[in-house]
Amino acid sequence: MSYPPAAPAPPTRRALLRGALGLGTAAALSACGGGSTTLRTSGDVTLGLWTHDPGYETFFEKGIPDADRTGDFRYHLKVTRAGAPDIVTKLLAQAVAGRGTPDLVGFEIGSFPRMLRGDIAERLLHDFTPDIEAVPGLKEDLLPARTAPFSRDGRVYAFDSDTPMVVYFHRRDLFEKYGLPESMATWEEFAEAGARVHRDHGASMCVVSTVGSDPGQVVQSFQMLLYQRGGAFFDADGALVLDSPEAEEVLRFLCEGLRSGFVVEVSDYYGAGMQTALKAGRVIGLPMAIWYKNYGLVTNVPEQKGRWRVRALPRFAGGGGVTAALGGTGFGVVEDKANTRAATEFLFRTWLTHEGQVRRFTETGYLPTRRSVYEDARLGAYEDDFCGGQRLFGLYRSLLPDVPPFHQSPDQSILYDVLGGNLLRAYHGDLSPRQALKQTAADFRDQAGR
Amino acid sequence: MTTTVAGPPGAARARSAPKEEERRPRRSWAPYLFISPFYLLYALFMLVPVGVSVWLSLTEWVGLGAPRWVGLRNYRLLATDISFHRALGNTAVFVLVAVCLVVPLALLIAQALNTRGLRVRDLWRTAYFVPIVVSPILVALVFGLVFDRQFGLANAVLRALFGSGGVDWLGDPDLARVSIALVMLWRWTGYLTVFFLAGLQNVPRELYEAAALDGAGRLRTFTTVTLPALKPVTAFVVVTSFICAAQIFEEPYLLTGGGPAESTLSVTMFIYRAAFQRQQFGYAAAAAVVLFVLVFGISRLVNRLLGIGRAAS
Amino acid sequence: MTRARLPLYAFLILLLVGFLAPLVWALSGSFKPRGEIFGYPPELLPDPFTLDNYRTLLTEQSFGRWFLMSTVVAVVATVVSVFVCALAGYGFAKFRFAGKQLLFNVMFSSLSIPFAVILVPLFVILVKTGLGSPWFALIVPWVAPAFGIFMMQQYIVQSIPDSVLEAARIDGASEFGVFRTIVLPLLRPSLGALGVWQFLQSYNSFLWPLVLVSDSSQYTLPLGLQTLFVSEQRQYDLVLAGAVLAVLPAVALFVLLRKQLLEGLSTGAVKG
Repeated sequence: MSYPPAAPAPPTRRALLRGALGLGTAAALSACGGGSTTLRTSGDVTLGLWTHDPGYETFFEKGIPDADRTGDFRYHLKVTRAGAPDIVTKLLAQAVAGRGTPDLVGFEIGSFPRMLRGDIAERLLHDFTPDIEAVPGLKEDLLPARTAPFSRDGRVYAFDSDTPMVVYFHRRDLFEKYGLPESMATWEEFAEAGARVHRDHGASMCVVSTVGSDPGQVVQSFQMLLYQRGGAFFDADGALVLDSPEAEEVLRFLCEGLRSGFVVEVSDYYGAGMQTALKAGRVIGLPMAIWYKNYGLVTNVPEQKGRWRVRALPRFAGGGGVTAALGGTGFGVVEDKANTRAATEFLFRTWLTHEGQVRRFTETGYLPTRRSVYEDARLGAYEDDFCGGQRLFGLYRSLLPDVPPFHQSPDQSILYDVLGGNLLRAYHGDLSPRQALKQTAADFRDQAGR
Repeated sequence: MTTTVAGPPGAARARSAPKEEERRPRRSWAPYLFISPFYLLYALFMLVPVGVSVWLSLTEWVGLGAPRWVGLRNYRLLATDISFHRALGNTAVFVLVAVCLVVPLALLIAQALNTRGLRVRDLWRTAYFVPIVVSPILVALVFGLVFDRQFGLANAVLRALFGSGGVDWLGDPDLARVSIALVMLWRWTGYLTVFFLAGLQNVPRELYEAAALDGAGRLRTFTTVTLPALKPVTAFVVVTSFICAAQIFEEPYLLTGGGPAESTLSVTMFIYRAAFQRQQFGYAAAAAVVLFVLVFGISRLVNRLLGIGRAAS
Repeated sequence: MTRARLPLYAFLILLLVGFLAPLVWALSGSFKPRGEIFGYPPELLPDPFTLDNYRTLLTEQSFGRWFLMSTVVAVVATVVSVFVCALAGYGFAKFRFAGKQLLFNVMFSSLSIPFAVILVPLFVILVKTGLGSPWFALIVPWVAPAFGIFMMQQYIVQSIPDSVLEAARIDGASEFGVFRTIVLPLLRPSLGALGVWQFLQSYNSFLWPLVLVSDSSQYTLPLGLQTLFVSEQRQYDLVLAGAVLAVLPAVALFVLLRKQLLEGLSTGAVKG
């Protein structure tokens, strides 16, 4: 990645810090109902940080000097790494036991719904809402689409690591070679061209995951296009709204694509099958979140550097937007601990500053969650080596208003379990798209709320 | 199969005559002292948690805060939960695989290994046993690769032998069950073989010679001499296989996650999923109690029929 | 070897290949660069051959630490467990006392308790009572497995005649003295079997450490490997190498002590 020299820090940062120190602290104090913990307000502090991804570990480690310089604490981190679902399991187990909870926790988005069951989040996690309001302009600047997954009843419990927009990755060399025009604007045109490419060259332009052991991943393939089309799993109140004409249209689109060869099944987005399909040129494009470049393409086909490009998703003729969001990791702070305030301030001083969000992008490739950061000149000038020097932030900026909010429900894993199975049945032609969705809704109602 | 239940069973041993020392009252404290370390640990780390679980099964608990008493509601819900029924059905299939496939195959291999004058018997026996020694993580990793649809070893072998091998081992609901069964066969057969082999080696040679004098054929010798002599070891192997297979967890958890479409969801996975993916601890505890009652009841029944699990006395 | 034996040996060799092929394949994969692990057709001999996976694993990951943790925990658990099981097995085998059958049945029933049942309560109890340290919790709750007591009981019933015990008692030995000087030495083969078995159980256990250990410096091997695998890069190459290294001690221990283990495991079951 290449960068122009760093620009001076924007002025908003100071306001941000002042705010976090002021009202945010009061809120933290009042929330700390009692118990034997004395809230630490300054000095040396060692924060327990749990995360599943070493990238975040590095980010926060490097953020320590900034946080130390701008606040009353001198931070140290004690990091525990574990699998994303294990983090929630451990957190709850430690919370029940009444000790050993971390201060700062990274919740992979798919694991967070467990925190929404009952009053777990309310009891265990610090509510950031007052801290956000204490910082002038922050509330308007944070993308609501990315606070939605980690919120409940208007309270924000975690800050997302990313605005994981879904884009269309494609092999520019092969697109040219196979005579695919730049002008195709709709999925329907894509599908038509894709069927031809499959017939003539044995290549596919879209991918669905069929890894039986991971319903979450099976659901992802469908989820991206569903949300782009304007559909959703749950509404803001957590009620199931899956069974919709949009969902049926998207599922039918994928099933027809599988018949024509425009869409190909892979067992795992990151696994052996995908790697070989990419290497062999059997997959020449796919819709996926921007982080897939680092986790899927660069790791599996580093030799194809320079041949990949990113563009906006084609639209559905029937309506909807040009992007969706997929993935993310929310960082939250455990409530009622001696370090609650220190951890909150640490998050505000590293994760949420303008500079921090720029740095987060350069180090981890994750997009800012604050609107204003997209205007940063350094990001605008950033050229992506893997994508042949493409400047991507113009595209990201244009997609930003279209990022749909993703609301989670405590019953989400139930939905994923039943939806994953029914999607596979639909892909294999055992159920019609309509039946698959009806069946999913029926199975979900049978199991949710037990 | 969660824990490897190993070792010999409770004795199927005939009751022996009362022994000298047992009549002496002055020693009566000794046995209690000998078994007390075990029971202390057992009470603290097994009975108490089980009691807590039974109580939890009568509550609704998300894993934090106070459990809410709901009486028998969880059990009523289980009775109508399709997933739970599916899990029971799948578990029954795994139990059948263990008892009707793994056990007979182990016996067959043991027979082969018991052939008189067999060379390097120790090598065969040792090699077949190795899979049970290997960490489940490696098992999951390796079989994930073996069963990969496009690049797995299984399909490569099929392709080499039959020219086609696009089998979706882990993606098709029925085949996923087959794959789990294959892993069970791989892990458990060699282990059980050892028991049968030892049993076979203990059958007195004279019995075979007498059968040969009677002009009995191979099959008749097997049914009239071998099988009766193997009854205790068979009883042990059947019961442990049953208990293990009824609690099967690692194979589906690591390999298929219970999918696709719950086709490999076992009861223990159902419990794990309810507790650790859905935060329904009360519900999970109720399912666990049901599993316990079933396993305990059936294994007691089998024990009674086959006469094992009694203390030597 | 007669011609008639050919089908038998063919059968045995086929089985051998079936049982060992997946492991050999894993071993070979651990010497391949990541991109080649999934190569088609599968190559048995790694080409290009690389030690990078092992090098990275040993230098950049805390593999040594995980290994130490697993080994120490397993060794301590094994020693304690063998002793506790021998004690209780002896109690059941050579004494008659009130409530014996009931106590035996209670123990037997614990075999059918799924671990998932007690996972959460056990965790809460341990941590609430301040016993949640890995050194305690990874070891102590698991040192008295019911099967171990069965095994010991069986062995003692079969291999230790009452007359020997009685003679020692007449010589004035205390009950524990009899156990220590007469019973334990006679039990040596089965202690070995139980020891190997218990070591493998502890060394390979996964779910309990997963829930219990929250400090990555105290991770056990299976936990460390799982963490490597599920971290977002799916480091097949590293995990495969790690799993091979982790399995080696277990396999080596088994191969060295196989006679004791295999015979010890089966004796009780056979001579019922």
